[in-house]
Amino acid sequence: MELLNNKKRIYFDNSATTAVASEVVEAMGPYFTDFFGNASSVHSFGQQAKAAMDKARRQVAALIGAEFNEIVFLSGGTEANNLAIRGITQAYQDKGRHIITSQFEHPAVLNTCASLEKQGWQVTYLPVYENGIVRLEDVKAAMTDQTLLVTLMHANNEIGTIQPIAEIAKFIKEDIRPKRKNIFLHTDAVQTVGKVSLDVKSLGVDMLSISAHKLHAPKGIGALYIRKGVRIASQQTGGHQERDRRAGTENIPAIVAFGCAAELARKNIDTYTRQVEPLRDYLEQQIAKNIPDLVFNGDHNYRLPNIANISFKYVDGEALLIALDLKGVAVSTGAACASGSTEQSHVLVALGLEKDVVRGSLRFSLSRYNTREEVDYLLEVLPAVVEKLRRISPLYQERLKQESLKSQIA
Amino acid sequence: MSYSKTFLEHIEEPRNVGELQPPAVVVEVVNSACGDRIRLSVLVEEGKISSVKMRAFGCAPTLAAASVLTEVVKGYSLDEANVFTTEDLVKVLGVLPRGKKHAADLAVEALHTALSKLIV
Ligand SMILES: Cc1ncc(COP(=O)(O)O)c(C=O)c1O
Repeated sequence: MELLNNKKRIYFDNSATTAVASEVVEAMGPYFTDFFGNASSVHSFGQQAKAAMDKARRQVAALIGAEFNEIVFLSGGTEANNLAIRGITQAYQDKGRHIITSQFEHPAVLNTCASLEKQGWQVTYLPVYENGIVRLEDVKAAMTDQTLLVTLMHANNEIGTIQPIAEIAKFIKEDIRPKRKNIFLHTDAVQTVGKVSLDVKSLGVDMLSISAHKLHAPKGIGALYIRKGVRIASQQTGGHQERDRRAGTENIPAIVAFGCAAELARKNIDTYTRQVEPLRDYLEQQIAKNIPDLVFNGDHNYRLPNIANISFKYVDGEALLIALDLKGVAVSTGAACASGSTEQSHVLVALGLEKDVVRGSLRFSLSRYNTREEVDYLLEVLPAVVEKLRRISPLYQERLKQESLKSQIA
Repeated sequence: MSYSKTFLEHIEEPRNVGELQPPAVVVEVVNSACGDRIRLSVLVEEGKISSVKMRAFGCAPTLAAASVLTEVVKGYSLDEANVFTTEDLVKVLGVLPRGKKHAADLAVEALHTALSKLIV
């Protein structure tokens, strides 16, 4: 931005996307220029590409405890969610036509479910309550003998709350599957993978979505884990790539990058508990100490280590975002005002928060590359920025007036 | 995002924040669709706007529009102020993103509402 004559630029929007790690850039480079073969080719160029892809597949599988053949490379989280939901419902459509999901899924799931509804599928959107967590008993209550798919995100991208996927998997395995073997559990783990150690076998899911650009690899690459034995209908016609599950020449440099990032994430997973989580907690505590009239959104215990979602009452999140951007700090908000009507985050609305609380929300999302100095810089500029916007706000003036009236009466 | 330099300066340092006492008129206008609001105080002396103050709640364009308005119309005669339009304000604010023109509309509505209160 023009006014940013200064040097400092700090990125606290890692839930949106992340910087590509330098090791990852280095790893993928040669696959543009030297090892550029098509993995389906028989000659040595092709075989080098195939070997690199195999290695990446092992690296990604290792990150989530999957087997080699259970990983399908594709273009990212959106495609993974589409392939999982459309692929399974198409493959098993004669086994049941009911889907259970939640109200605060990513649009890649919500809009896919909505499009299946138009094709005659029944969809139940479970509530998430004020803490942003789906309840097992609601899943139980929603289950019918037509239910084919349960698709619930592992961690929410706006507030970071983690869903009880393992408990839901256990219920399905023990109570439903003995009666009906065609019931499947998919989880969108785009925000979780690389931040919380996760194992598909102990989690008990049938499918799991990953997006590489959330874990320091490039955009446009991701994977769907499909448990061995689960059939899906491929969503595009073409060649036989990815064992007939995803046609199209594989993007080898991106796949290599994804593999490298997956390995780095696996090796660094404990930095999230050791370093990122304490930093996030410090950020929250200091904000709470220095700024009044806040609401902390989402459950405080069951959540990702890197996200803080805080509402600053009496100000608009988007105005706050722009004012912070002018100070060199990038965050995101659940409030976006367009064409004279405020389009509110469906996630925060699903929590049942008041309009004003949604309006003033900011999301801070950290990565393993953020430092204490960066958080300290934020803490230095944020109180004044909020104060300035509140000083302008007629809503805040009214609140101050009411406060002083109250104290006069008392 | 390509907000103008003027726009960003007003977000960093909003001008003429506050409220005036009578005989200044104070009005508050609200965009019912999004909840954005501007409270504008206008003092007219000897046929000219001698002082303007504002408070605003809403997205950045609303804050910037209110702030810029206070600077522009200060010193205007009533005739000049009466014919002041959204387009005039946008000329100073710089191009607004698509769907954000309502912010400038709201600021100009605040001005004209204040003027109508003056004349009676
Ligand atoms: C929870 C969740 N699911 C899916 C996606 C979509 O992933 P991609 O950007 O790779 O299509 C995102 C990214 O915004 C996400 O946060």
